Amino acid sequence: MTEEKKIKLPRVAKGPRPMMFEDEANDILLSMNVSLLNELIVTRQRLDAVERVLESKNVMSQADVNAFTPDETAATEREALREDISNRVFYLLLQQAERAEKAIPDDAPGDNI
Amino acid sequence: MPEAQHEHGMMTNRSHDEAERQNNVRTLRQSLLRKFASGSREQFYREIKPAYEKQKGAPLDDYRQIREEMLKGTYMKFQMGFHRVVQELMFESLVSPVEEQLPDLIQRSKDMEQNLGTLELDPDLELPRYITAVDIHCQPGGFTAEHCEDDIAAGAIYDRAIHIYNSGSSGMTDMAGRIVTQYLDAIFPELQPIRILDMGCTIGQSTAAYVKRWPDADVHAIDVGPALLRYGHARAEALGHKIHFSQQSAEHTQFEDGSFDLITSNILAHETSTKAWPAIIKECHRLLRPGGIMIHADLPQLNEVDPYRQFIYTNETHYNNEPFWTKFRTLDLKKVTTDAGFLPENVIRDFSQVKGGKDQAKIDAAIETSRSAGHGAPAGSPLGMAFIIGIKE
Repeated sequence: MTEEKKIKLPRVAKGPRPMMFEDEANDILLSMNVSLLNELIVTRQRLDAVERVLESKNVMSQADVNAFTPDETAATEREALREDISNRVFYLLLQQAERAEKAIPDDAPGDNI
Repeated sequence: MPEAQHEHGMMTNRSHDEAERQNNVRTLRQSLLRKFASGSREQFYREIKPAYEKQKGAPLDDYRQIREEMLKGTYMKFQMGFHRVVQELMFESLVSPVEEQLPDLIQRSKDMEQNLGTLELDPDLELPRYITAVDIHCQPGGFTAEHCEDDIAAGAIYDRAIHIYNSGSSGMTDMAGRIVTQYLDAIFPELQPIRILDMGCTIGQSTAAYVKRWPDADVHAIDVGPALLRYGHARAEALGHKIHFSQQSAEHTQFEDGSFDLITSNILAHETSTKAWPAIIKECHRLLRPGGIMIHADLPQLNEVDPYRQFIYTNETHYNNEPFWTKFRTLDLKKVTTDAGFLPENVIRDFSQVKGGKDQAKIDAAIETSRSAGHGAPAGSPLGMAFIIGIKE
């Protein structure tokens, strides 16, 4: 059996894409933020759906989730998770910081942290 | 709480996340966009307008000047930027599931056939440039693209888009058609059309309202987009609506003189052109039998709304791929209609008052949302859709 060739639909609308800001970077940032918000809500809704399904099947209740207290291991892992996500969102700025750090000569004056 | 869209046999399936992406775009439009819109309105009336008038000693009442002043601030830029992004995310959320299911959707469109209505396509039809020049509403591929044999993608995308666009206020998505039937019932209570033509029908979502209101009528629906029509036909079959779809330009149809008792269009006019709209009205005049009625529903003209609303209106041209929007809104519609042969005493310009009826709350909510997004009539006014009506002598 041969795989049917997938039909690709266009994702870009023909016509000018107006930018609102003098610096188009702001438009791109705005689009990233709204997309991120959208995806965050989708994920949060999925989590909500999972909790409700589990509750309806008597696996656990939402109260269990609210009463959840992480033990030491879990708390450490969750802290890392928080940091990881923040780093992902701010990756570009962090990269710039890293570049700048590397560019600083060893004999530069001041505290080189 | 928005109403869920009425599901029918042609609907694209959605996973949890696909559905939520679409629902969330609807919510962003309904909640955030609305808040932004009322915020910028406040800003205009409370700060920008008084400051400008104090400084210049002249009224700020030209929509082009209003645009210039409004876009000096950050707020409006964010609002318009957000508006555009939400529109793009809407189509992104719609295109993915349709693309995934396209072969299955095409098969379903064939299985749906029960010979209630008909479908006639004209592969030789020259597509009007005003429909193909840009992808209207930023729908990728626009109204006319075909990506494969028997393609229905444009229609499948459009069906769920209408629901999101109306902020989920109407499960059946035939609200625009119902505004027309409610109006006709109020103004022409004797009207019993035997043959009806709906122009620029897309997927026939408004045509459905005419079928429901006049179940014995012979209902025809035309559009230039083949994928819209294929989908529309299958959708109508799935819903049990008898509609005869055909691929024709409203400027010059194949129907004989005096073929129709009622000709309708819904928000078609502003997608045409300065040349095409008068030609369409002429064609209506030819197609109506004596005493027949044409009614075209669109939004009010620029001179029918306040200057701030004019500015909000004309944003559509700038940001939503609506090349004819602003130009259309400056046409003298009564003159176009009388120039096409309708007698002056038989031409009516009127607005839907949208009063009463069991769907009143839904219609009001949808109009309010549309207003705050910059579409409908001024808030607080009783105006809904604007009609240009002609009665054949």
